[in-house]
Amino acid sequence: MKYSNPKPPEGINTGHHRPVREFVVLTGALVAVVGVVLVVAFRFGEWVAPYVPFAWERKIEAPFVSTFEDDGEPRPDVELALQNLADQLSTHMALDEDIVITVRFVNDEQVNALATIGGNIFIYRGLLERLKTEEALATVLAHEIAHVKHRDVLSSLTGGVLVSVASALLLGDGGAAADLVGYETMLATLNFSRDKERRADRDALAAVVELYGQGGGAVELFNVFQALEAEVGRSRTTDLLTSHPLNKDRIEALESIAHQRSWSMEQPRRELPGVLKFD
Amino acid sequence: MDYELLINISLFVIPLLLGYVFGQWNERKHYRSILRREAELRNLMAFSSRQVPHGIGADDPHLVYGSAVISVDYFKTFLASLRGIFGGTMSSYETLLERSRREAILRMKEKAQELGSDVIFNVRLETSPVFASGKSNTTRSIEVLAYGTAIKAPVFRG
Repeated sequence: MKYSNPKPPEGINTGHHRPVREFVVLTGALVAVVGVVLVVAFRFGEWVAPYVPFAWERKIEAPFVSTFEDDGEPRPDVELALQNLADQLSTHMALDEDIVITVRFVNDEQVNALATIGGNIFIYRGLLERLKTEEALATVLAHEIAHVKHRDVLSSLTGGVLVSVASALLLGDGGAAADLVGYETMLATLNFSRDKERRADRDALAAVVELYGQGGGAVELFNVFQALEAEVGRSRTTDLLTSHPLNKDRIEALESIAHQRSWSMEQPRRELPGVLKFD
Repeated sequence: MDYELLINISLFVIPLLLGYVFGQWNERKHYRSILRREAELRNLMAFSSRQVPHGIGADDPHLVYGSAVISVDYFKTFLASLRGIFGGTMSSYETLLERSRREAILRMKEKAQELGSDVIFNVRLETSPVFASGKSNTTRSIEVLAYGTAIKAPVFRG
């Protein structure tokens, strides 16, 4: 018997593979599916948040509040002054009756202000150091109060939790594709967040105009932020990657609203009360 | 904060590109080498049967083996993880496994050639995954081990 070993043809098991095409099709499909999940989750969050009793938010606020608490020297005098200003603004913002605003002062050099679950608003010393007028500070406070009013934090939180659950179900432990889903989620979250910021800006301007008769504080505030942007080097290219709209755009948007409603946007006059002056 | 995401995205895209470019380049190079060496060793045959056919004078048996560990590139890992979501043929791993099998058999044959054997019987293949760590999204590699009994048999002498 004679044995021989003919050469089998190549490409029986492999060879029909078009990796780039497979990559484009599958990545596109994943991005689309995740996109739908993201929109549904965040829209659901926005829809449901106003129906959640505010008291529930206050019940779960503790871990959110402690995240931002600092170990700096407590300043009850500063907090009281901030709280008074916030209470004054609240009366112009048509808040639901059950909503309670609590302003907290963070003795830290960061230039920041934020609202979290349970109507808790944090104002950082670094921000007060940069502000000159009460009207600019009022714009910040009104902006954060608007977030509380629209339950923005709760709505983002709900959306985020839903997205996490959905991606855990969809991806399991994920593998490399989970990174892609992570970035898409981040970009979408930032995009939804920018929408909320624009609404908060509009509401803040309306409240400040009602209280002071004009909205120049907003211009001062965003000029401060713009100067800060120049320091850290933010530009149009990174616009997509931030939670807030570009400050130049924010000023323009507010000035156009003011123009439509014939609100005055002149130089703010009221100096910050002494207790809030840090420099 | 602004640049953090940008950096993260490049940390994701760059390995993907590098994985694709170098993975494809390596694969082509490997296939060329496999085809050349297979042609050279074509006359040294390998059989999966356990028994040497009757009437063949078999002499000087040796255990011969060859093993190949080949790593999947990041691009393929990524494609495979997409397939893990949508299902379907994991084409990106098919070439990886085929190359490993053929490479392991070639190494086994090269060993047999060194020993002056004419043929290999009872050839078996074993495959096992080799993880870089316990995490599932790390780049994986696989080991294929081919082993058999090499004998001298004039009938098979090319």
